[in-house]
Amino acid sequence: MRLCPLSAARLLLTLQLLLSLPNALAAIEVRDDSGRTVRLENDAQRIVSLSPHITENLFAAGLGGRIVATVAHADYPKEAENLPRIGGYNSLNLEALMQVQADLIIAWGSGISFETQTKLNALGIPIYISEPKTLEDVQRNLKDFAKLGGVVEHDSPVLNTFERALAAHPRRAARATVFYQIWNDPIQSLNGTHIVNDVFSRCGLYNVFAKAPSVAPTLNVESIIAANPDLIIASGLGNERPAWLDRWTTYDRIRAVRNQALHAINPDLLQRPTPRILDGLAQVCHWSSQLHDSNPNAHSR
Amino acid sequence: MWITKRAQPLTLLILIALLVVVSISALLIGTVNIPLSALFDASDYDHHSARFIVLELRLPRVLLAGLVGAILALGGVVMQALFRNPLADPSLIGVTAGASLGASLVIVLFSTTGIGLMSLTAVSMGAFSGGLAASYFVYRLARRGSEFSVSTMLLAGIAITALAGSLGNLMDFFADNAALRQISLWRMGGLDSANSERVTVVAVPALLLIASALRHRDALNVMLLGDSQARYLGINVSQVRNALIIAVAIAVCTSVAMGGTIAFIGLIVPHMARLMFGPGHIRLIPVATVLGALLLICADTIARTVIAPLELPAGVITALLGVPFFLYLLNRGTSHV
Repeated sequence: MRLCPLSAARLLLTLQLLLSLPNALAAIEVRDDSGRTVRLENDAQRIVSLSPHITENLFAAGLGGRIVATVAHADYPKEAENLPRIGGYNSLNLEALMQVQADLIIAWGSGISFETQTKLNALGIPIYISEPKTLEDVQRNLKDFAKLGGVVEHDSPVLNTFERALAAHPRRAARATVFYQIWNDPIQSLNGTHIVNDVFSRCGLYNVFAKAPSVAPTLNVESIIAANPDLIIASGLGNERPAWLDRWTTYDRIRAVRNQALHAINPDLLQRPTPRILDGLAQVCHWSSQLHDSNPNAHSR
Repeated sequence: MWITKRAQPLTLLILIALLVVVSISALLIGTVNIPLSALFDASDYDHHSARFIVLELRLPRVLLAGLVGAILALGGVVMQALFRNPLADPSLIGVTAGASLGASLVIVLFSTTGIGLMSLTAVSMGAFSGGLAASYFVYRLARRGSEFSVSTMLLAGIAITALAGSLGNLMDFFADNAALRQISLWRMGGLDSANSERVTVVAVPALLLIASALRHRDALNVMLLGDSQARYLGINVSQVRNALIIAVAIAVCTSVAMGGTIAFIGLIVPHMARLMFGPGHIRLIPVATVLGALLLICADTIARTVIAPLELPAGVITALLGVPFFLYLLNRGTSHV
């Protein structure tokens, strides 16, 4: 039997297609927090991170070395401070962004306007939108990042830690109420849409202002007296205990004052959706159980 | 004016009575429901905390709102007369923008949250000095020797406001995360930080402003005709103007430093008073003072109760309350300027 040259060529083409198939299958696909599918042909090598929490999570996923640019305030871990900046909290330099020749952009959904997103889409670079609302979301972000970067995801110490912490602190019915104070003048808290509430519910706490209509509701002293929380957690600036936290000691009508449950925490441990939130979780759960141990009858619910 | 001369003293008395009634009601409403029995009956379980809430939380706040409202309204009356311009208000001489820049500078450069003298934070000191510096600048620019140009002062005020505003934005740009948050929250400001010390600090310049406005009430009437007319009538124009501008600048700077920026009252309340009582300052000064205090106390009480336990910015309510009333007055057809 003799092959005609044409069919030989066809065979060759088919073979070639078959050979290239595994390559096409190797393309990476993940679903981001906005529900869109992000597809990469190859592992991301040059990543632009458009938010401090994304930078922190990329480092945690072992991809810190591949970040080519980030934005202002990306200050953790230490190495992140030396990364080139291409924008601030409300601005983004698109020219600088094009210059770094990224193959993946990771943006924070709430931190980027519709207009900017349209412009970014026009660049043709794949974009992953990160918008973690729960601790599982943070965990999934870390897995996605590892996958997009093509680094092996099993046996990752950070993911193992996450797994253990989430198993140790399942969400449970609230036994006590908490007022989370993020500022003093005016008094501000966070409502139920923020990720801190996931931490609270895993520690058996209920945020007294969870139902407030705005994300960062403005309150006054009287509203705290009326809400009468069992626990007050304040996050000021950085690690220091804000001086205004002890102002509450004047109001001995508030249960938290009688319980001596006025605590300060670094906001980065509770408000940033990164592995550091597990430290915040451990700390808050410790205070919650302390409250219960010292005075089992102190709880309002 | 649509209140006859004969009815005016009575109307003023009614306004004062209204101010007293509104202030007392403001003491009795709030997020925590306080029955009168708890307030006066010492044997009541909640007696102690009820007294505390009314006397230590609500009373200073009502007083501060009243003082700030009075300062802004009276400042508007004086400014509109001095500049012979119906659009003048206290923020026109750069006070508000200067105060905002001063606060930003202190926050960014000293990154301080510490408490200063008498519960006046370093930030409110910065705001006070910033506002004073800006108004001094504007005033110097408008004065050449003994001559003083109203239009130069208005334009210089606009220029200094713009300059302070853009410098403030520049500070935002260089601020780190923490300072940025502190700056934006300071700008939102509010009257919740009221305490007896702050009330005292605002009360002194407020009383000085009322006193100096009343003292120069006749001069203000004559100066509406123009500086030269006033001079012919034997008024030391530059001395009166200096005294009044200094009194307004100090009072408004203090109120901005203690209660944040509240727009609208300084512009609209003087016109309300004028529409009702005519342009004579002997009546305008007390009426605007009472109306300003009344409006801000009402607005602040609504702001802290309408969506309790949350709070709205008082400035939102002042406009919502004041504008319909103001438009009603305007629509009565009398020319007022």
